[in-house]
Amino acid sequence: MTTLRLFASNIELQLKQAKVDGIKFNQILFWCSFFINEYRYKKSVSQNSIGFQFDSGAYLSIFSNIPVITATGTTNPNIIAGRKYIEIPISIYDFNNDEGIKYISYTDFFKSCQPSFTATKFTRTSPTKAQRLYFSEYEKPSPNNPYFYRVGRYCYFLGIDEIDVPYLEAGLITTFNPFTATALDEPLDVGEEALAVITKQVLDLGRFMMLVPEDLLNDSKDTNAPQSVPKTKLISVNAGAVDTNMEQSNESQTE
Amino acid sequence: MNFSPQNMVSANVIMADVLVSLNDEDQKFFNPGFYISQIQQALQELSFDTYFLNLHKDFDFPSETLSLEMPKGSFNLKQVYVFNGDNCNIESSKLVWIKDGYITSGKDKGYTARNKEGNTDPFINNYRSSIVSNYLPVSDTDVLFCSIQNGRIMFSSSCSSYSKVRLEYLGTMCDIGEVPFIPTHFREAVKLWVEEKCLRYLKARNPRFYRPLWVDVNSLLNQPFVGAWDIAKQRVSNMDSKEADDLKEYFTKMNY
Repeated sequence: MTTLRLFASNIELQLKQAKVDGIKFNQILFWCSFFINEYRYKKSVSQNSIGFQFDSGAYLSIFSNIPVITATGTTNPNIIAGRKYIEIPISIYDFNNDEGIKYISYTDFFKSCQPSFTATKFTRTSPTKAQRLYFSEYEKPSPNNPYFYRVGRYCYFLGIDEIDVPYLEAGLITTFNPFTATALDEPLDVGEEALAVITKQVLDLGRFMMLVPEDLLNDSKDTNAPQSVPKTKLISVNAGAVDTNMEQSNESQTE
Repeated sequence: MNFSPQNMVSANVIMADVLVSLNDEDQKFFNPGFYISQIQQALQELSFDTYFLNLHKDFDFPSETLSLEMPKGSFNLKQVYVFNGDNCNIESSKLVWIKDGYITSGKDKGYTARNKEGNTDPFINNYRSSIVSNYLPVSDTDVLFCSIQNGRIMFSSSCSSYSKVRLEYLGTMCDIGEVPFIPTHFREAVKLWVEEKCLRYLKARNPRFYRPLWVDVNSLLNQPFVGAWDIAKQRVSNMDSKEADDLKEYFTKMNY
């Protein structure tokens, strides 16, 4: 499988072949990462012609034994005393309805041979929608019917206040991060079918960057430094204006 | 109950079909409790429409308050009996009659009713004893009666000589809060009822997408005679074949 180092090196080579020089390898890696992330995000939210959402586990990561914390004190923002929560252990995509969190479940086995994530899952809600749940006997949060709501990088829970839950399991649609220690030589975490698209996007961006004239670059200074003030005469490429007075005076001198 | 409890399917079996039909296998549209609630409501509606579930339950007689709350899930009282002994050895059971408008606060606290022993006014002059004396015992103490008001059954003092009450009533499949079980012959009706309800709610989110789906499901459910709901009713009406056959036999053997 393709590694990021191989992929980015190939793009670097192509840029050099196209006489686009001066783009550093780290820069190419960074461009690769955000085009890979864009591809993964768009792929995950894509729908077919009749509205059914693309469903794949390609970018799903399961985190087991995420510690459940009960806040002992309040720290603004987002830490509220007495409430149980987990910290999302990795960067995830911000899909609609928090679908970057594919599921949260208990870690133990529900029945013999039946993993908990196939039995009791935490249902997603939000602080504003949670009130309705308490109106219905069937939907009221309980250990058998727990809920979570996301607040930034934390997930808070409803229904497990009265029970001891040390750990939870979560399936998350994670973002692509090329800057981890071993990421360069790991198999690239994107479908092989994406490489052609991403290669084109990075090459286009590299070429575009090289097309920008240096004079238009923002050097973050409000005035030009003395050495950058043009010293040669600026000559317009347009046809010169005709000064009739000057022509007449020249004629009189020659006479 | 005219079907075997062993033939019932669980709510999960219904959900397994409904979730696929609604394309909500992730249960993102509605939470699991919501689906269970809809299944329960479907069974309640079936109970109201088809009277398919006859239940009975025994209670200790409320000798002090003389009043009893109707059991959870019951909606139509069919019979009231009082008896002594216990379920395994019923002694001296008696039918309790309905007395309209009877209201009491408890034993030895009196009562009000239109037809009451000792009423004397220009319109009702000792009404009860003068009319019924030829046919029935003349005293309240000899007649067992009760009334129902807002789900509370109030018994006459005369019933307090019995230790148990048995109520026969029509009921829903289970109490609120329990996981319902569904008779197999209602499976399709319950499934479509839940789907129809869910699609109706989803229409509020995306009318253009969900309305055609809702129309299809609504037709499958509510079409007269061939819709699942009507078929469920027909099935219930055909279930009591033993009762119908026996009645036919009784009538045909009468000598008239």
